[in-house]
Amino acid sequence: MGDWLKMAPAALAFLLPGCYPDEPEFVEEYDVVYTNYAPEFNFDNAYTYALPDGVLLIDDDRGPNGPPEFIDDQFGDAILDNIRQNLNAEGWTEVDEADGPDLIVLASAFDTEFLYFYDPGYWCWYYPCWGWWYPGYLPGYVTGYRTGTVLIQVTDPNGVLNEEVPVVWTGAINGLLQGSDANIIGRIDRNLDQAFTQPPFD
Amino acid sequence: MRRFLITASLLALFTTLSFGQTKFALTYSVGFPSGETSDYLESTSWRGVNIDYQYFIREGFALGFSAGWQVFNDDLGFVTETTGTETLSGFRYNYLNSFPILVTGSFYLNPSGDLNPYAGLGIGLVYSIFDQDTGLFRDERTGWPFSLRPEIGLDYEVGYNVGIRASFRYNYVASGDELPSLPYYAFNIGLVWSN
Repeated sequence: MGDWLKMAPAALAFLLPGCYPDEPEFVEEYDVVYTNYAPEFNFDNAYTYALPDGVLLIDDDRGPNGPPEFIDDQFGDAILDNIRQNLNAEGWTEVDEADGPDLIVLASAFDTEFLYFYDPGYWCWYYPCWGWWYPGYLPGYVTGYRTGTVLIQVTDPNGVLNEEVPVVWTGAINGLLQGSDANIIGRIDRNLDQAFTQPPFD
Repeated sequence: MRRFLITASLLALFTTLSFGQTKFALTYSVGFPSGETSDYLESTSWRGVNIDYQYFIREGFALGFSAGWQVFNDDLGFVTETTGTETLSGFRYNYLNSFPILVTGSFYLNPSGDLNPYAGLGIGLVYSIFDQDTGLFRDERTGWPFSLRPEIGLDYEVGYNVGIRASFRYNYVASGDELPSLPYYAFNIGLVWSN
């Protein structure tokens, strides 16, 4: 009897699935924009930044030690142009990485489950093979399926500690990989703009 | 666990009582958010159903059992939420699936008449599934909060032992199990039959 009573709520919960009427109709309504940042970092300064030429593809089938792969240029260019526009609008200035920028902005993309953290070794071709740390905050995570994610990390090469690069801002946009290329690029653009209206850039 | 033991004991008690007059009711329910529920869900719920069983232990007074299902949903549009340094934005849809499971006591004012008003009180638990969807991501909280439900109603006998029931209920649902308090009003209409 005791066991039956213990199992009853679980069994009933299994028999009572929820009803979810009027769910989203349009693919845009499934998009999510997530941002997080280091609270002690002053984002109001006019920083110089460097932005690698491509958006790195993070792929489960490819280890971090292989040569870097990038997403298709039509999507990559749209992402990098948008980042540039938004950072320049903040009063930041893009410089070459050889000129010692204050910050380095890393853009990557996933087409499977979204992870806020992946092996930093994917950037060994660009950065020294250091790890990452998140000063004063921990980025959350979201998981999904059949989704695409663009992850942007603003890193501070001058704040390296114990061979770990501080990631002072994390921005992620996530949505279903459905619709025409133009539609996907339009959604990426809108969502990146949204990311740069969220704290601390608001 | 203690609450389930109490509920199960009361149900067992009903089944051991000698048979007398019983009433069954099957009603359609329209729900109206109240209290903290209105903070998450503003729209009227047009999806609800109840089943009620009542056993008369004396003329005009019945103990019983009531179960139901009420579904609330709301489209909140594009929402941006900041907690500390984290900000999440996207289209927000909220859902509440409420399954009250109560023992009831009801007083009937005119048991022998065709028009039979009644007042009752239910006490028990509500299995609640509360979802807040942002884009693809669902924040789901479930629990078995305590519930108290006063009710007034009217049975109108239209044939031999068959009638129409209309009732109004206030479902107080306490907070608990990570759920906020999620009360609501409900108007019910349906069939009632007795033996």
